[in-house]
Formats: sequence, structure tokens, C-alpha cells
Amino acid sequence: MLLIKCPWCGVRDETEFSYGGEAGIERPLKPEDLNDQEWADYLFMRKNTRGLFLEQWNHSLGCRQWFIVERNTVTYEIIATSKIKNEAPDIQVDA
Amino acid sequence: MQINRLKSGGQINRDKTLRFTFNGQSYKGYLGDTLASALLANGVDIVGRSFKYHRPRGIVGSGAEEPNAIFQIGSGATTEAGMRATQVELYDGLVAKSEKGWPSLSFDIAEVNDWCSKLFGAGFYYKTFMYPAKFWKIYEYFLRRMAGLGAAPREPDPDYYNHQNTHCDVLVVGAGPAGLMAALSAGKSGAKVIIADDQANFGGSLLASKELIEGLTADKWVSSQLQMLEELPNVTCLSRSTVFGYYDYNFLTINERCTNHLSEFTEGHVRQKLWRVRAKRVVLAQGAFERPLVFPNNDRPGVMLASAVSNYINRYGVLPGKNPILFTNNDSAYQAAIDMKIAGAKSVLVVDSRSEQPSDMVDEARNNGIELQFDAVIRNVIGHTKVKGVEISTYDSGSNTCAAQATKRTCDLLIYSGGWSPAVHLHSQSGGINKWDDNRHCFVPHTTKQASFSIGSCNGTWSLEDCLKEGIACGRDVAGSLNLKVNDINLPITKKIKLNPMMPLWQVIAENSVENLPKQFLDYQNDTTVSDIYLAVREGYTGIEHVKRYTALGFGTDQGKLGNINGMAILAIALGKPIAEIGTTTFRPAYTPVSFGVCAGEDIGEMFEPTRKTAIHDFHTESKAPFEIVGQWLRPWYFPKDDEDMSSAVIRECLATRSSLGIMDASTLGKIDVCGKDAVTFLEKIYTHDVAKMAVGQCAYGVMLGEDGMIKDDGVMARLGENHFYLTTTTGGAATVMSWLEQWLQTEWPHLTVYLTSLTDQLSTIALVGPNSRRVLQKLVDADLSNDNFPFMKTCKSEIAGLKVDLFRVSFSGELAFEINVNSNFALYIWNLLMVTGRDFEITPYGTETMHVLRAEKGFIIVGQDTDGSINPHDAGLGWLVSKEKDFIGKRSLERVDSIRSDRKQLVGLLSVDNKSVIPEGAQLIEKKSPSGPTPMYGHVSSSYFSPVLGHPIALALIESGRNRIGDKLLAISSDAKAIEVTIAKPIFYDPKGERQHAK
Amino acid sequence: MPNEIKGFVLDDFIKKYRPSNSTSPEINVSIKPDVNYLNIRGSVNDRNFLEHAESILQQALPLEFNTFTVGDHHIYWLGPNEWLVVTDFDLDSILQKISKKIDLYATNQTGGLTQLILRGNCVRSLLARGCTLDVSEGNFLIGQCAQTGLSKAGILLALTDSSPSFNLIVRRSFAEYVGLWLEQSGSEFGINFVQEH
Repeated sequence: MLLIKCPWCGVRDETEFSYGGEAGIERPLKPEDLNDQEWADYLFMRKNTRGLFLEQWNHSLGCRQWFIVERNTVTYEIIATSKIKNEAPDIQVDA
Repeated sequence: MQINRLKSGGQINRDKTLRFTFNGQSYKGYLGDTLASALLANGVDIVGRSFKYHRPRGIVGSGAEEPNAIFQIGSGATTEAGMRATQVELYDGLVAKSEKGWPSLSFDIAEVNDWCSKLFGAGFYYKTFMYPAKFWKIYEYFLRRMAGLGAAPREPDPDYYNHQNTHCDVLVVGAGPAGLMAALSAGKSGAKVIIADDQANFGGSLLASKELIEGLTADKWVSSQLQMLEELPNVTCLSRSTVFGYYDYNFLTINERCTNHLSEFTEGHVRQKLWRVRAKRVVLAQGAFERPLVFPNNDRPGVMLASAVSNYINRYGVLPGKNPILFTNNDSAYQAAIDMKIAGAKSVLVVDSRSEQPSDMVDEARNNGIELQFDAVIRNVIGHTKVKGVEISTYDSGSNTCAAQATKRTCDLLIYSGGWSPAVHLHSQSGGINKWDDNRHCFVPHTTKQASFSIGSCNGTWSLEDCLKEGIACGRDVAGSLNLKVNDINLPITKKIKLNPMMPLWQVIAENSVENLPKQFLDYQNDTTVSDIYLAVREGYTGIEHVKRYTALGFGTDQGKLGNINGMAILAIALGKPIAEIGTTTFRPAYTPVSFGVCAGEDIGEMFEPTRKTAIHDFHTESKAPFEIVGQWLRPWYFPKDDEDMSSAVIRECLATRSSLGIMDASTLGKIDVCGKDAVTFLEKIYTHDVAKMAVGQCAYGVMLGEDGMIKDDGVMARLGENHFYLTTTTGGAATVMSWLEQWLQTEWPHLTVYLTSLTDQLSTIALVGPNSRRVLQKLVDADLSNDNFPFMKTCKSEIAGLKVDLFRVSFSGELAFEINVNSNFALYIWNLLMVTGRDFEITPYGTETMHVLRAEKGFIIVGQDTDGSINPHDAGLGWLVSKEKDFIGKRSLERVDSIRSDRKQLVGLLSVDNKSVIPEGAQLIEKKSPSGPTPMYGHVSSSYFSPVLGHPIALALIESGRNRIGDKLLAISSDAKAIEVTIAKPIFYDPKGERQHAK
Repeated sequence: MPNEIKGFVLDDFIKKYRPSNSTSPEINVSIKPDVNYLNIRGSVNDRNFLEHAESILQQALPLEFNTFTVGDHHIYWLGPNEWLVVTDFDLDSILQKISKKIDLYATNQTGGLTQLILRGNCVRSLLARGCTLDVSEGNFLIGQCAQTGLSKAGILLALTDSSPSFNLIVRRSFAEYVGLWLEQSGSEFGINFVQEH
């Protein structure tokens, strides 16, 4: 049973959280420009890392915030948790 | 008669006689006895029959390691199976039964297995019961009966169990000398300490010890320490509490048995408690298990561990024999011989495999008149239902061989000890690694993964002084690591004892002919013998994890506490490898068996899951509506009038709604308020339709897709203001959708200013449905509800009886309808007001079943019933909702090759050809004349009802290329193999032009 | 508003509730149904939002995570952009003051939440039966609040004084479950419920 440090609420029991899969998968800004293969890579392919892994967790019973957890998938050790950066995506404007 | 009870001594209360029965026979014991000590006191030798060979077995141990005395305790609803007699405290009226042995323990017919044991070697299940394959079920029935694993109660458990979460600085597991010192040392430094021990009394090994500490007898000293602990407000002492699981992040579970020692059932009390502990530090001081020695017939009743013998004499005043022989390879076991002699055994012989060397224990034994024989071993046991004697041979420890000649010697008790195995169970569960120690000949904790410390004999530390020292040091270190001011305690004064090292003796007879000898048992509970290990090796198994599974070594409920180390050593010998290379098997929770009752705790019956009720619930119960559970909510199913059955009620509700007026409680819908300056941008991504084009006051039916293009949820949404929206979700999907929306918002588009707030509980929703709905509602509201002013798919604010309401002209039935949102505190009031106002139009409350019929008549889908995660909006006939002009979640997936296949399953209607058979939901659809080979299945029926307004059955189905097959006839085959001929139709059966919901 | 038309979620629970024989219950629970709740959303980085919130509420929002402030209202921190105002004030008088020019969003939650006030020596022990959060003395302090789970329901928990007295706020549809849970688990200590009007 993990103890997870919510970046806002502090250390709480795993039962207060829900899991959201691999972090850092960016939704393509222009999905229509992708071919089926590229789209499928975004949609389905995940790293399934053995070792250090960045993943999304939600403090669902607490402050409802999503955040990033760096966790070792072998030892279950949580190395760090961090807030999601509030940045707009870098949208390329067509010439 | 308690024939083996000593006249005095022990920690039992001789003034409190307790009666109990074992296999129907009545016996007496004393308060403070365990069931095992009471049985021994009464001279009961055979307590069970073994698992495979049905050999008679007696009590071997005195604690969690006991493999034989495993009983069914109690009867009826409160009976418990698999209870260790060594851990069951005696109470008056206790009823115990052995789990094996038929017709009786002393004559078990299945012992025939022992004579033909060649058939029953390791893996015999797999080899013997293979053919014919279909006979396995019959074999299994008999095998399970033979194995005798106890019986579960048939009635519900009347006992009360609960759970307790707790947090502490230090959890100390085990209250022996090391644990007590650690708890005291950490406790006196101010740490919040929990110390738990699985026995009734604290003290561990000291309870049976004769050693003096600070000039006090061991038990008196323990009492003084316990008193000090209990005086510390920051220390919690838990006895009868087994720490059975050690999980990640120092989360441990404790099973406290509160009333098991009082009676089979104690009314009004918690029987057991499950402690869920988060500890900053964990101190493991669980002690060690004494190891048996391995020699032929080492399982006969009357063979007992040395530590158990000392326990029975010193703690319970029970002398388990008169003429014992002790077989040992170490000094600690001498204590049992000395205890026997002092307690009154006539003659005591010690057979020691080692050569004589000066030792305090040897001297003390000799001074007590104990006969000693060195360089000797026991090579066989004589006696069948009870030890009658032994064969002794000389032994050469240099060459590891025992002489062929043996002398016979009679005895009534064979005490044995092969040294000690540290109880590394919790250390291993925590992720710690163990290492074989060649000096101490045991596995000891090596590296730790969590903040835990092993001390005392579970760390391979044997002498009392060293255990006390380690405890004090550990408590101090732990307190220091928690930044507490360390308050030192002094090392208690004990007598130094000079001990000789033990000599490993894994196998008395190491000849190659070992398999032709009488059985040498390793694991008593599973009847695993030395020859099973050799057989496994011969058949190609070399890893300990494989050998364990093939031979069942350590698979019993004792989890190999006695036999595993010997088994690993034998495997090492058979493979010609050092033990260090064999390694241990994986230790898993639970350390000892835990009852289901305490795992469930209070979460049973109506508390198993929260039951959510709407604010209008009282009306439903007063109307005697049966309920349906939808995502924890109780929803009224239908509202029977008088003694109406369901189908008549539903027909009446449907017709009343279509012809005049129905009313439904739709409060369970998920409701989400969306606001913020980027609300439109966000919702454009979430819904497939053009949200930006919606005018303020406009409603829309919307679907949300997963990024895979499949329908995720649906519902009506409305634009309440420029940057303000109101969404509804399905009842079951409310929480998931909310979390999913937040995930997109917070992780993908955190730069958007959008706020999502759940209104599910705050607002109740009442649907007023039917051609007369406007007439009735208009009587209550000022707003102009005329079609011109308030057309289909509009929303407005209004008041009913001075209460603010939101009105929505939306319809899930195809009728003219309004949904009224109101503060839940007033919902029942408004509902009742509508009931009164609608009386002239025979307002009819309806439940979920009628709602389903009405929506199916219109071909409206239910997400999760008519969709299953593989249906996209085009499949469901909702292509008209999909914007071509903007991007939204799932859009790109709709253009994948797979999404535009022409043979995708599509939502269609079905009519039964006979016009009266209701097609079962889930029925598979096939051709009327199937081609040879596997029958192609085109799809299945997703919704099916009798339509009262149409007077015939209707159904919705998902069928390959269904929309191109309108008019085709198929067969619907249900699970009971009935076939109904059906015609594929369009999925809208009633008012296909939608005129009714647009009514002027 | 005439009171008789209001229907509170624990009305039925309290109607069916039979006080235990315990003469001096260790735990007293008062159900305070008739209170108003307002959810406030906005960005802490937006000075205008914070000032506006303070001006309409006449009380500052607590900016420290997991704390609450007491003034005219109890204002609880729920998340980095979310607060809950619990008040006896009429919400319309507050809502009317909200300026459309400022990114402050308020949602009426009255009727959707219920508050129970738990008092007595054993309250911390009782809560520990269902909470994985450490609510022990010295760890859960006055002025602190936390959203967490009580057995299988989500709750907002806040410590108001050292008696101790905890405010427990729960969603309407989970209130009955929480009531039943407290009644069952509290029977070990002796528990009594009253409804305040």
C-alpha cells in the first residue's frame, strides 16, 4: 500500500488516489495531419517501463488534482511527485 | 484424568477448571492452558492424521509452527476450521474435532495409502489422476475429502469484527526479550510505540525460561517490564495480536483476537480486530523456530521439539513423557532434558551427534543425573501410534556417516532439536533479502528494503544477553533516527552461559539408499519426505520454487515454518550445491491464517457498499416501488398499483405517459457545472457537436468519445451563459466522466481557465413527461412555456412556489416533456406539488423500466447497454452529431481504417416475425439457414421490450452492416437455445418524425 | 422560506434513530442540516479574484492548503482553485455582489451537502476506524481540514476546537451511509445523534 505525496495535500494513503497511466503523452496538436500509424502510436503505444517511470495520479478523494509521480515500477519506490506545469502548448501557426 | 499434569508449576490457574471435548470425548484443563497443553495433560497422543498417507500424528510444537494439531473448533455458525491447538486458548465448553481420520483417529482406513505409498510420491496428482480426463471431478471429490481441510460454516457469522487504522513511530513485532527492550527504549524516548505479540502473554521465550534476569525469575522480570511499558502513555501493548502482513511503505496488518479465548461466541463484543498500521519504523523481533531433525519415522506421535517440551513443562505444568530421549545437534535443546528431569522424568537420555566439548549446558545436564551419549544419532523410531523406542547408532561427524549397527532403547517421548531458524517471514514480506550464514547455519536478514530492523533471534542472535543488548540499541537508534531525545535504559544483568556451536545435521542417514528407508518427513502438514525431494531432482527440478510446487514442501497453512529449511538443505545435498545457492522461497502474507470475518470487518450487509438515495426517495418507498441499483443509487423500478405485477404496471405507466402525463425521478443523472472563460474551447474538444454554435439557453444532446473514437458517455448539455454550461452524464458514469474531464483539463490543457463542479447531489431532477406536461407545469410557473417561447431543446430559469428552478424542454421518451432541476432540499415538496397539480390528468409516476421502454420505442441508446466500448457514433446512428469542422477527442480515430469498415456492427431495430415473442436480450443473431462449418454470428440483441403503445415486441440490436440489411430475416438464438425469427428494422419504432416531442 | 417544505437528507435517519442505553455517550453527533453552501472557484494567482472574493464574503479565502478560516462563515480550502463557504447567510445576497468582470465563479451547493458535528473524547478513535488519514492529536490540528475517505464515502473533515470537535461535511447521497457507519462503529464508545434546527 503506497504512500503518495500529493503536491497540495501532502502524504496520503494510496486509497485516496486513482491512477491515470503514463505521463507526458502529448496529444498531437493537429491529429488530422497524422497517418494511421502515427495516430495509433499516440493512441495505443505505452512504454511499460521496468524501472523509473513517470505516471499520472489523481488525488480523487482529496483535492481532485492530477499530478505527476516518478515511481520505480520494480520496487514501488516513489522518487518524486510534482505539479503539472500550467503552460499553453506551443502551437505552430501555418504560414 | 490429567495424567500428565504436574502437581505444581506453570502459569495456569488451577482453581479454574475448564471442560472441553475433543472428537466427542470430554476432558478437563485449566485456565491458561492452550488446547494443545490440555490435550497433552490428558495424555492424548494422536491428534490428527496426515494429509496424504493418513499416518497418525501427535503434537510436535507449541506455537505457530505446529503442523499436526489442526482442528475444527466449535460448531454451527461460529465454527472455525484450520485452528492450531497450540494457539487456541482453552475456554469452558470448547468443542474441538480433528479434521482428518475416518472412522477414528486411532484407526484410519485411509492409512492404506501409507502401505502403498510408492503410488503417492511427489506429483502423484498429475501422474495418477490423468485419465480419463473427465473423471477428474470424481477424483477431486474424493481427494478433497481425504485431504481433510476442515469445513466452513453454512450459516452467516454472527460475530462482530472491525478495523482500526493507526499511525505510529515504531511498531515492534514480538514481545520477547529483544522486542520488550526495543519497545521500552523507544517508548522511554517518547516515541509512539505499538508492540504486538501473538500470544496471550508477553515474554516470548522467557515465558518458559529458567534464567534469572536482574535477580528475578524470567516471568517476574517480564511482568515488571510490561508494567513499565503500560505506564507509558505513548505505548500501546497488543497481546493475542499477530502481525500477519508487511506491505509497502511500512504498512502492516495485525489480527487482534479479542474474545476468541473467552468462548466460541461472545455477544456484544468485538471478536477480532484488524489493525492497519503505518509505522515510521518497524522493529522485527519475532524470534525463531526450532528445526526438527530428519530421520526415519520422525513423525510418530510422541516426537516433539525441545522448545515445546520446555514450554509445556514450565508454562503449563504438563510433563509430556516419563522416559524421554533427547536427540540434538546443539546446546540449547539440553534445557528440555534438564526441565524434564527436574519436573520428574524417571530417566533422561541425551543423544548428541556432536563430540563432547566443555559446555555449561552439558555440565548442568550431567549434574542433574542425565545420561549423555555423544557421537550418536537416532536412526529410526519404533512404535506406530506412539513412540515406543528408538534405534541409536554411533555417528562420525567428520565423515558424516552413521554406523550400520544400532542399539534399541525404549522411551515414551522423543525430543529433538536441529537448531534454530530465524523467523524471517515479515522481513522477507517487506522486500528484505536473506542470506545463508555458514557459521550459524541459518538464513538471517541481510538487506532491508523498508525502514525496518531485525533484532534478537529472528536476526540469528541467540544468547539472552545479546538479545537484550540488541533490543536496547535498536530502540535507541530508532528514537535517534526520529530525532527524539534518547532516554537510555540499562542492560539487565543476566548470567553468562558458555555454549558450544551447533553442528549441522540435515540428514541422519545420507546413504544413496535413502529412498528405501522408512519415510523421513520434512513437511508434516503436506507429507513431504526426503525421497520426494530426491524424486523431484531426478525428474529434472532444480530450482527451489519448482521443487516446492512439485513436492508441496511448505504449501500447508504452516507455510513450512518447520520443514522448509531442512527441505532446502536436502535439495542442496541432492544437487551437490551449497545451501546459500539454493535460496529461500517467497514469503507471502498471511504469516498465519486469518479469518474472512476480520478481513471483511464491518463492511458487510447494508454497509457493504454505500446506498445512495435521491431526495424523492420517501415518495418511492411510500408507493411501494421495488428498487433497482444503478451505480450505488436506488432507483424505483416501477410503481405497482394494488397488487399489480411488473408487466401490468409497466404497460399502465407507458400508456399513461404517452397518452396524458407521467412523472419520473431523474435525480441520479450526473450533473456538472462548467464555467470559466475557456469553457467553449474546452467543451468543443469534449463533445462531437458544435458547442460554439449553441446559443445561450440552447440545449443539445451530446456524446463524448474516448480518444479511440468509441462512445464513452452521453447526455443533454445546455448553454446557460456565454461561459457557463451545464452537462449531464449517465447515472453510472458520473464520477468517471468528471475525473476524465479533469484529467484532460489539468494534464493536457492546464492553460485553459475552466472550472468543473459537480451538482449531482445539489440538484434533483424531475421529468414531467407526456402530452399534458405543459398544461400542468404552466399552472405552476410564470414563465411562458408555449412552443413559440419555449421550444424543444431550450432551457430557462423560473420559479415554482417561490422556489428557483431550472426548466429544460428535453425528452428521453419522445413525448412533449420538461425536466425540472431544483435544490434537493425542496425536491420532494416540488414532486408532491406536481403530483397534486397533475391529478386532473391522472399523473402517473414511472420507474426505470418504463423509462427504458419509452426510450427504446424511440431508438434512444443507453450507453453501456446498447454500446460496449466498441461502438462509435456512426455505428450507433449518431453520425449527425459529429462535427466535420472542428477537432474533438476521438475524431481522428473515426477515420482509422478500422472505423470506416463497411461491415462494422450498427444499431438497428428488430421485430419478431410472429409479432408476439419478446426476444431475450443478449440473443445472438444468425442466418436462418446456416452454412456448414462455424455459424457466423452477426451481432446481438442489446435492448428488448414489449411496447404497450405499439402492441408488439421491439428490440434494438447491433448487427454487422445492419443498416444495409433492413428487412432481412435472421434467427435470434438465446442462451436457452430457443430460436426466434426476427426482421431487421429501423431503430425508431414510434413517432419516427419526432412530432410529439416538438408538440406545439 | 417556510421550513416544512424543506426535506433534509438525514431526516429519515434521525426519525429511525433510537438512542442507545448508554447514559453518558462518549461521542455526540449533531446534524446541522439547514446551512448554506457555496463553492468558489478562481485562480490564486489572480489578485483581482482574491480581493473580490474577500469583498463579497467579507472574509478572506484561506490560501494555505488544507486549512479553513472562521469569520462570518467557515471557508474551507478544497483545492488550489476551489473553496467551500459554509454559512448561515442568505446566498443570494452574496451571489448578487459577484462581478461578471472578474474570473470568480460561484456554485450554490446548498442541499447537496450535509454537516455533522462530532464531539467527544473518543471522536479521534472513532474516525480512525474509517480514515486512513492520521487524525490523532498532534497530527490533525485546530484550523486544519482535509478531504479524505471515511470507510467507503468521501468526506471533508475539519477540527474546530480541542474538545475535540470535528466538522464532517459529506455529499447528500452519502450522508445516510456515513450516519449508519458512525452509528455502527460508534456503538463501541457510546454515540448519540441529535438534529439541530
